[in-house]
Amino acid sequence: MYGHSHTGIGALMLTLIAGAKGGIGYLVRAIASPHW
Amino acid sequence: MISVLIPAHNEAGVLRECLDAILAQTLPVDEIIVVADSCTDDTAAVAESYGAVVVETEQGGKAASQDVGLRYVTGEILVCVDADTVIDVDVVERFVDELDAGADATCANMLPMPHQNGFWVANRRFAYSLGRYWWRWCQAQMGKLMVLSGCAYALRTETVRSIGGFPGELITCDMDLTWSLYEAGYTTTFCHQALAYTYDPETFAVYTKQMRRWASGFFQNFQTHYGQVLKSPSALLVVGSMLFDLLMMPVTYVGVFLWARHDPSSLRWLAPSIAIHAAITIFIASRTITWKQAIVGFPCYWLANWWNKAIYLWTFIREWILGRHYVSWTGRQGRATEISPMSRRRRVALLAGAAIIAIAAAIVRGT
Repeated sequence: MYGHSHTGIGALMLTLIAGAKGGIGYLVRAIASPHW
Repeated sequence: MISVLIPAHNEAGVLRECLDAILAQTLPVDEIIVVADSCTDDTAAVAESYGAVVVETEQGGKAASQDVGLRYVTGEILVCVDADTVIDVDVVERFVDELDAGADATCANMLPMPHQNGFWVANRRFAYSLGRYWWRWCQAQMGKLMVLSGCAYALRTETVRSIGGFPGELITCDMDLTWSLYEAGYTTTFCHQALAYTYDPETFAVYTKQMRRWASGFFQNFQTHYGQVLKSPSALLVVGSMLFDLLMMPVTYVGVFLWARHDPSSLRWLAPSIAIHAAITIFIASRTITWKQAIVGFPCYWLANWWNKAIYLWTFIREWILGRHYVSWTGRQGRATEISPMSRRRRVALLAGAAIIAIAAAIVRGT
């Protein structure tokens, strides 16, 4: 919470709309390069 | 010219780490201003030994301390860092790149200090890592980051001056600042590659105090800035999705309970659904933390989430329905919590509402 996390239908909606807007490709590229 | 502003209340024990990290930046900063607010330890002496401009004051709050420090800022770019935070060596450079690219304000992703351990810290490490490539990424794509992480963010000095300084009316001043910036027409970005390490609560008592303060700040913020939320479809999605998930949680679990009572075999879906949740979230978290930290962190996060949501649900009732507001500030130093009493008007309204519901229920039962 507090801007960090939530789970449910709302989170799913947000993910789908933000993914469509921002481009899933960007997210895939970002998570493909781990920062350890 | 780059200025760094650090508000501090009795932070002598951790301030050295913070200042060491600022002095080690790949893009050097031009001035460091430490506001020693109501300090009874060596905070001011430690800051002076690093060549910082030290302002001693008696404000008793973060935003008020920042406002005092703002008067001494001479740089065009202002980086705000908490005294108990250590930023990666490239954070200032990444912030400046982000502002040069057109952002009005930007912030880092948080993580607990690497040497911190325990159930509550493992939960936070997982939650922050997950937020980095999930929720906060989504919020940033919608152009409405819920909150500029208070521990490490940057903006132009002129930007914060143009909104009258750091807002300090609400219990969570970083969220208040974020939405005051939106109100003034400014934009924010999430500089997810910039990492800031901060001291997270290690015990149940301190964690709960922090969550109560964050939850109260969340509801106070949207009671104050609801106009901004209603005005923008993106903001409505970001804030509405979070509120919807929170309020639907009890409905969902009551539904699952009733379904399981009616058909116990339906519970066979429970284990696979948790396993899918675990697989997706552990993978995303593992992009920031190690696989081991992610695997250990998931059960801590999953369990702590129940407690978080219980706190948020109760806070929703207290802040928005009972009108009893959290008014004190509690940090790691553990200052006392203060909750305002319910107003007489609210009490009368709630009693009248309850009476109307009771009468209506009696009439329905009678017919």
